[in-house]
Amino acid sequence: MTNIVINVKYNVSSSFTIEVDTDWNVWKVKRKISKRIKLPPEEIQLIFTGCVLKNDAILKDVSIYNCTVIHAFQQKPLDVTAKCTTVDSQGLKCGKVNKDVHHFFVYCKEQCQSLCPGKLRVKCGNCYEGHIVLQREPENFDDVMKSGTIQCECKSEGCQGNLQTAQFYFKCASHSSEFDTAPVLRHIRPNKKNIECLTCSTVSSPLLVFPCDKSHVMCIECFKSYGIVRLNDRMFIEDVNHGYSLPCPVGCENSLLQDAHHFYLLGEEQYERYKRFGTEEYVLQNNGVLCPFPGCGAGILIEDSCKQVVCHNCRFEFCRQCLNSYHGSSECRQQLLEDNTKDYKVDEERELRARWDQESLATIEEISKPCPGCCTKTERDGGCMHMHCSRCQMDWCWLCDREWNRECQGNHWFG
Amino acid sequence: MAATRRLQKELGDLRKADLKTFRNIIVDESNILKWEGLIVPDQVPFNKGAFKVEINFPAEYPFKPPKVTFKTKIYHPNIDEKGQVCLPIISPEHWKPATKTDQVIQSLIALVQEPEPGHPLRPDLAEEFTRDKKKFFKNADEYTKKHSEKRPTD
Repeated sequence: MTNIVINVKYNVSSSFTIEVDTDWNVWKVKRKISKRIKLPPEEIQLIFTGCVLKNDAILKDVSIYNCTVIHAFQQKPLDVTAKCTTVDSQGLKCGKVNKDVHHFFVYCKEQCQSLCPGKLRVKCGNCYEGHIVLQREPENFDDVMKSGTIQCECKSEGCQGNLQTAQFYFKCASHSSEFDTAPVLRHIRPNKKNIECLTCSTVSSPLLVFPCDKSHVMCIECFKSYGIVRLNDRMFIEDVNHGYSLPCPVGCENSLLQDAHHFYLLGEEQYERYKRFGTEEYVLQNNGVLCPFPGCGAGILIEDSCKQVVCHNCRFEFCRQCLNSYHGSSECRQQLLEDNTKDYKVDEERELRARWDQESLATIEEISKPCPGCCTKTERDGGCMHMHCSRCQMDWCWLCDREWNRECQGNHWFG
Repeated sequence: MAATRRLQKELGDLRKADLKTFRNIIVDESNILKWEGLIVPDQVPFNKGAFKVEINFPAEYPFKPPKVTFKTKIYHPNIDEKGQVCLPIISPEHWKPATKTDQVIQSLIALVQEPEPGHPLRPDLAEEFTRDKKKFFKNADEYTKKHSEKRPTD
């Protein structure tokens, strides 16, 4: 016996709360509601998550808990045509936070700011009200994520029983709120079979399941480290369909995480870096350039033929090829801060020594080489001559300054 | 920290496995990222001695590979004078976080016993190994007797 308070929405415009017990059946709830809205209980239909509740269903069995919102509407008993009458689909559970029943997880950006159990909710795609009966129940994530997959009969006054697109959304189940929605993390699942984490061998729940054939799993803690290490090395993969993402670390085919929201799990600061790197990667892959001016780095998408680039952000004018300040039609060369105020004569050597950034520029020149593909200054701190550019992905030879080839391998792989 | 949890488990498993070819695993309790062990080959020409190796795990382990260095001098085409060894399984491009240290050690022992003259770190030894195996074996055997560690008696 547990007394709870539920919210009843009636005819869109009115809503009220009633006190019920989780052991009651739906009929008993209808009798209580009937006194309130002055309708005989047999003419009341109750809807919860897009399904009509059967009279003999027990509240706790259909996951109605404290603060749950249900919808009531008037319907003559003979009119009941809805095929879908119970709430039993896997995961259509909600309410009280109980780890065992939760199949959905969300990243709660509001109160909790963390990974939380989630609950699936549905409303009419036209009037955004919950007085709807679904044509069929959702069977997988595509059914709920792709808009228009499932239709519903909307009972609200505006839609008058017409077929509408059902709109699914997720909420955080750890705090109650009528309005907050939260992005669902579809690769996070409860660990019911006690599977060990791929990398640390511990058993924990929930965990992340990669979308590869073998469904490799990783615990949340390891996923955070994995994400941060790959982010530091800029080793995320920019993919046309899934964006800037990570594959299964075993190296499985087609294993990229399909939703960027999972990277919220890395923490706010890392997520900001993730977004920045992702944008930069997108710009570079689409033949754009990043402004080379220190501290700027704005992404610029320009036509291939354009050699002179003016940054829209800091107005720095630079050569697209060598990324140094623009040098007109003369050939690209390694220019160190070209000074264009020539009428005031200063001793050349003194002028060189007096430059603010001269030392670091000189050091960079000394210890680095530009990648032959994208001119990114690259330092070699050991290992063999085979260089791999983490920015443009080019494989090049430290000695020859060109693409890595069999000859380099044969003649000077290391040494 | 992923590294600590994983290494504790791997260390336990390795000690339980009690390998004949990799023994005396020493790990400083204050730093689980650094292991020392003794490679005890059972094939010629290195079966007269034992070789101390150090395995260094990065803080980002297992998302970055460990590094293996020989602390005992060895006459081997794939291990240089500084003890550096080129082991494909732990090279950054081949490394998989699911690879266990046990596999790394097995692959290291395999390399010690079957040199790969195609990818040498010491071209002179690789040439000797390919041209005159007998001479290489004789030199390696003598070098092992002179420089290697004592083999465990049990």
